Amino acid sequence: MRKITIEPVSRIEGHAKITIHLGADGNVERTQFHVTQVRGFEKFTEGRPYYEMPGITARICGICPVSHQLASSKACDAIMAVRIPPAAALLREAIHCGQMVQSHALSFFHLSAPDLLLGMDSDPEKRNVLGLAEKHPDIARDGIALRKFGQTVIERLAGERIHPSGIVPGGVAKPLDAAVRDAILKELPDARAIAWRTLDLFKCILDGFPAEMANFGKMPTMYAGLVGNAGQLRLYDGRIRFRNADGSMAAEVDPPEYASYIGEAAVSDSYLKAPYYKPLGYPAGIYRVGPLARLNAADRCGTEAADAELKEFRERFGRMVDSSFHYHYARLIEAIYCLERLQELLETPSILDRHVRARAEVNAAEGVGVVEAPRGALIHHYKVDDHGAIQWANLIVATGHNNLAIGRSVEQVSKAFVKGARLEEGMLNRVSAVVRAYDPCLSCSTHAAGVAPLRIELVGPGGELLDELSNER
Amino acid sequence: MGPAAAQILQGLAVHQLTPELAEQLAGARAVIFLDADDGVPPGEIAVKKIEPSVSGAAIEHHARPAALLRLTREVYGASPDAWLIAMGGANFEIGEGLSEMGKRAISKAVAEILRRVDRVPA
Repeated sequence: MRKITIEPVSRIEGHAKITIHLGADGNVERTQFHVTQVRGFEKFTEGRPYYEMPGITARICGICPVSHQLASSKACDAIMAVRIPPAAALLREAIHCGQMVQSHALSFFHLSAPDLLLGMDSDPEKRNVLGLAEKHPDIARDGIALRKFGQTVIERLAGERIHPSGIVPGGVAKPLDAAVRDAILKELPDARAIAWRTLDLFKCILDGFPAEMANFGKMPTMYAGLVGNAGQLRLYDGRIRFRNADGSMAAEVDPPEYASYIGEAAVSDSYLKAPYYKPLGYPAGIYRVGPLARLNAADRCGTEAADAELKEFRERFGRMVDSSFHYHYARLIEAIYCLERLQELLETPSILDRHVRARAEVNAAEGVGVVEAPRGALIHHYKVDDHGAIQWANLIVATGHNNLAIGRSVEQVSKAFVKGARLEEGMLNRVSAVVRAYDPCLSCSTHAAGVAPLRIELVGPGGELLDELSNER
Repeated sequence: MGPAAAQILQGLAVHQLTPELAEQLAGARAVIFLDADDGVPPGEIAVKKIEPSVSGAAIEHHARPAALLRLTREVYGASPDAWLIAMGGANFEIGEGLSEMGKRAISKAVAEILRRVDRVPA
């Protein structure tokens, strides 16, 4: 059996490797998606004071630190048993909108646009953000501007662009000044214009990818995402909705009850755990999270322009859109939603209220915080002693939920495009591209508690296995 | 070391070079990148002129100044003069504060930058 290795998978956050096993006929028999890094935050935060967790867990990532800080702060709010001031909730959600916009801009413009606009089979030396800038400087400029807008929102509302200090247990660190609010509102129209014309551009090029739409993770799975009381898309707060592949409702869960519905399996060939929907077991309980899943799980977005785009999206591809290629489309719809929602939040008069933080001691032995990170549901669950020292932490990070789906997508794309008799770079790029569609944040997602399964193989010069050592039981 | 030097000069301290910096570079007459380098003798500096990259080295996690300069040129049509000042550090282990060698390198870097700034045409 021949083996093709793609290492590293390019233009993703974090480190991954893909192994494609070919049969004697040269066709793909099976594939493996390996996440090759382990972070271990669940373990080394044991003993730390709970109120340090937002600051510590923000360092999991440089792209989505705000998401970790929000989920962590919500878990701390629960430990303190406080209801944060209304202005703080508005500000947290506004910061989160900025975070979503900058992250989605990074994913689309810098990581995936080279494939989508230069071509999956284009020269790999130029198939990157520099090549994009050379051929489409206007689009590259839009990407820089949109990401900068999102980062500026975070900086203005939370103190810093990366690892901001303004999201804290009990609320936020400081109230919002009217001048800062007005500065953001003044820049919103340009940001919205960029998001709209980018989505318009994407809709125009979509028909150039029929094979990708048909083979990039086109499969029946469940979908999970936060929703509000009226079933609308929610990113900061809400209940976790699980919807079946056929659109029927599976469950709607209060965040503290997540563990009754989400299990985690360790896999032997990756440091990334594989969450699954518990009532169906592993691996039948495969589900997807993130932009596509959120739009499938929710009834509507809840803002005017985003809902109009969602309606068009569903008219084109069906109520339940099942190809992971359409994460790109969903991501752009979400960017529009976030910009509209940001405007709603900033125009709410009470966002300027000076009371933005609740203070309390430890009043509960555990807390759960759930938000929708750019890549999907993010869960922080802490248990503390009477003094507030972390005794146990469980982080189920967005990309982790998609582990099973990414693995199956890699296999589907490999079987569709990789023909072993004649290997072409574009074939292998498509295997990487399907991973990029999920916009994975692999550095965020590996926090195996306890022993990570490890197998060491000693391979001779002829490829023969000489010896192996494993800690698997 | 870079952030410490940037603070003295009221420059920009960043975790890493990102595409968003291209817009700021486009508005500058000259750009000086500062970074610690374990290949430079401790306490010393090395100055290198930077040109926009020619090959396809992209901006991902470890963007190079040359790639950022190329992005600036492609997107904004601007090509500021650019130099990299590499500062030789003594100890790259996890710790707190700067070594005497590190401080010496920063001091030399700051002096070099002030000298160059005086020579940048208006």
